[in-house]
Amino acid sequence: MRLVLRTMYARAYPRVFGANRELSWVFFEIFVPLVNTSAFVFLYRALHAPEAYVGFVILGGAMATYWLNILWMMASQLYWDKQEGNLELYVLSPTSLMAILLGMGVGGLYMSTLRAATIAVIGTLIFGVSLDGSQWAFALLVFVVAMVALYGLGMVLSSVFLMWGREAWQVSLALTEPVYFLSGMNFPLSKLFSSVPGVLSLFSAVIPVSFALDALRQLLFPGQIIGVLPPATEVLILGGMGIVFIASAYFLLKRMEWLAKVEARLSLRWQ
Amino acid sequence: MIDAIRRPARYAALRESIREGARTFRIAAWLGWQIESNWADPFVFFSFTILRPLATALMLLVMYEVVARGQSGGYFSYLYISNAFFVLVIQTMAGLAWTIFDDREAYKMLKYIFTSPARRFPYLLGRATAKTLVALLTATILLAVGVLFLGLHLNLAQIEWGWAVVYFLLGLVILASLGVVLAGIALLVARHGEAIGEVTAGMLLLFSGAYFPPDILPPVLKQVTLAMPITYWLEGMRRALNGGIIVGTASNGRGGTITGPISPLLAQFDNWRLLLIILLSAALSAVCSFFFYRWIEHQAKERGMIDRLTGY
Repeated sequence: MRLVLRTMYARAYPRVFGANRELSWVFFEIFVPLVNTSAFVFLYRALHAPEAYVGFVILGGAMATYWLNILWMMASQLYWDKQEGNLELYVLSPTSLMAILLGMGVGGLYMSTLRAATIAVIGTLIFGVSLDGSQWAFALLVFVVAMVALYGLGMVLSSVFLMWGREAWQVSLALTEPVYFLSGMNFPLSKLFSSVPGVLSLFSAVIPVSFALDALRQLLFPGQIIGVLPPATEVLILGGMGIVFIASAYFLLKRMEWLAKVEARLSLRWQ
Repeated sequence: MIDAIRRPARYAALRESIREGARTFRIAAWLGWQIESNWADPFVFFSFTILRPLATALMLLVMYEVVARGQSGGYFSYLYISNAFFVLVIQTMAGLAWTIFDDREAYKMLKYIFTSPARRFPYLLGRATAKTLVALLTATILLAVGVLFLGLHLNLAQIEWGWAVVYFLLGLVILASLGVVLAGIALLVARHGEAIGEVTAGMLLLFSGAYFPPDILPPVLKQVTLAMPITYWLEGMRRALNGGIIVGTASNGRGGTITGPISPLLAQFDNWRLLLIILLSAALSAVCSFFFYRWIEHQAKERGMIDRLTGY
């Protein structure tokens, strides 16, 4: 247990302290996503949408930060580590990959929260979004449970990506905009569920961002959105997902590490 | 007499230079295609390539539907055509900037390119060609999907093909020039070099009137948008494909509706004025990007950045 905690601390360290040392992230990860999000805000304004939709977009923009962190700094991270030669060192060390991933998750969560909060606050101020904070405690619970599920999914993806070469890069790219669409990042999820085939709804439901955004929108913009399910049900589903994802990650990681060793992929670069 | 002897020699040198440039371009384009596509079979590669822009198109469709509920069809055409061509903006600009990062950081080949007789400018353009061609194919498929399944109104007989070809080619010159500028910046930027193309293209979403007419922007942002050549290029492509200025119906705020151009601001420019702006932008950006790249490459050499690794 002590080793796991030390590993988590060591792996989270560069992400927590790196955020303060490399200030270019302020431009690349706050200003740029905010500009991007603004384009969708102006699209709604051009369509004369109700003002609550602007809030939906800002919330979606903040949540997108977590999804990008999952894709590029959790799922693909072991691929990067393989390219840099770190993966071999991880495997040679006495710790487990699970502990390394947990550390990555903690560090990533800190970084992303800093970025998401900045985007949400600046976006809210610039575009004059009015939130209803009467259910903030419930909203906070939804957020925490959603993060457990989301980073659990990130760990599952990491284990799968462990096997891959350049596909990992392409899959991460391919999972960006399609997930924005399937999770209702910029529009109410109920609209998606009523207009796409059932199988796509199922995909959407598996992405924790979908129900998290739907529940948060219902809680922060009450009466202005029809949710897919009541927030209480959605938080239960998210909790279940969190347990399943973390347990799956544990077993998958062991299996994939073994397969990667058998197929000699742990140190295979540039493929 | 001496001049007469030297002139053919100069022409021969020029011919040789052009031939060498063309050879570098051809080989770089082939290399770019191999790097882009060799990780998967063509079907998987194509599926991954089309998935992202298609998802964006679907997202825009749902955003439009959730508010407009099938009304003001002109706006959907505006949005959809812009989005289809914006794929080219992202891929061309990102493709060029990515070349530097890929060669320097991932394959560690940039120093060998620089020490070979390959011409750098044609090499950069060649490497980005694969991405641009894939983007062109993607844009075409997006438009076809839009017409066949998503209610986009495009009439082949109404498309102004001449304008479409002229605008398109000039647009490519502008995009490639901006991409070369970004590639130059990527030579000097430590970290984030890999993202600089997509990041800049993402910012252009706000400053190009791709998703909304510039008319609705606050005055400062409107001026920035009107200073961007991409704004005029997208307007030209929309106009050429629609067979004229896109018109829509919107509420007049007094319970009635009003029909007019989606962007009255851009509608002020007729096709010839639009062409002039795009032509001048293309010429200016090509010349400036050439000299900018030469200057920045020199800076990168002076600072020893050609073989520097910045990944972490």
